[in-house]
Amino acid sequence: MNFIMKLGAAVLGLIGLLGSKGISACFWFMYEPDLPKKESCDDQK
Amino acid sequence: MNISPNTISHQLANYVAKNNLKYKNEQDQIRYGLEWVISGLYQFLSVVFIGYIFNVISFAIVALFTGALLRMFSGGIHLQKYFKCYLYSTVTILLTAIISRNYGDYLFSSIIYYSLVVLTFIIFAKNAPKLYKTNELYNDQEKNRFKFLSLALLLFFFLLAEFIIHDQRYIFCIWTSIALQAFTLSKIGEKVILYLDKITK
Repeated sequence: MNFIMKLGAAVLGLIGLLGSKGISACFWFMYEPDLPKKESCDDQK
Repeated sequence: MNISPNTISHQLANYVAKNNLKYKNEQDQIRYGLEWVISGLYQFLSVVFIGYIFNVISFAIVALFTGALLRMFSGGIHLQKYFKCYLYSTVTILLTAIISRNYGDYLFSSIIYYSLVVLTFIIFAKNAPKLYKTNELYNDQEKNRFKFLSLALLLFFFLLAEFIIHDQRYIFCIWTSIALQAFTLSKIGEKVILYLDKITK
């Protein structure tokens, strides 16, 4: 169970990180999520 | 139950950070990406489902991907709230699909079509990319690259309509979608949409 939880988190994390690399507005949508907080971006660098 | 992309992406990012410590510092980055993915998924599923009900599924997908591809590089005006965005874009795509399928042949006019192509190129060359929250993330050189890619995509759609697609209904569908994106890039479009956004709070 613990392994499945970790695997699920890893997959979701990867999808989230890949999704965050999108260029600008990736859909027809006139919606745009709030950008990630600065700390989070800086940590990544 | 709140199923907005914002709420779900926050919950999922919390889950990721709790269960996989290597992602802890990237929690908000993951939330941002998941919010894009979930909102896109909602839109895709809604368009496919309602398109299927109205028997316009292929037109709806063509309209969705034409607009989505262009908007990826050109940006465009944004509304304040998720639900309004969702409603506006889904209704617009489906109306484009329904009109194209049922009336595209009758409404298609070569003069209007070529005038629209020229006008669209001018609007994209002048105003793309129109970025909002992401504006500060890109320098002028990167923004020029987005402009160039938008124009290259327009050329691609033009050549597609000229040489590959022979069904005028699909050409009507593609260029109506492009015209709607061009409208969101224009100054008049920006004013109209921001006004509508304001009065529908």
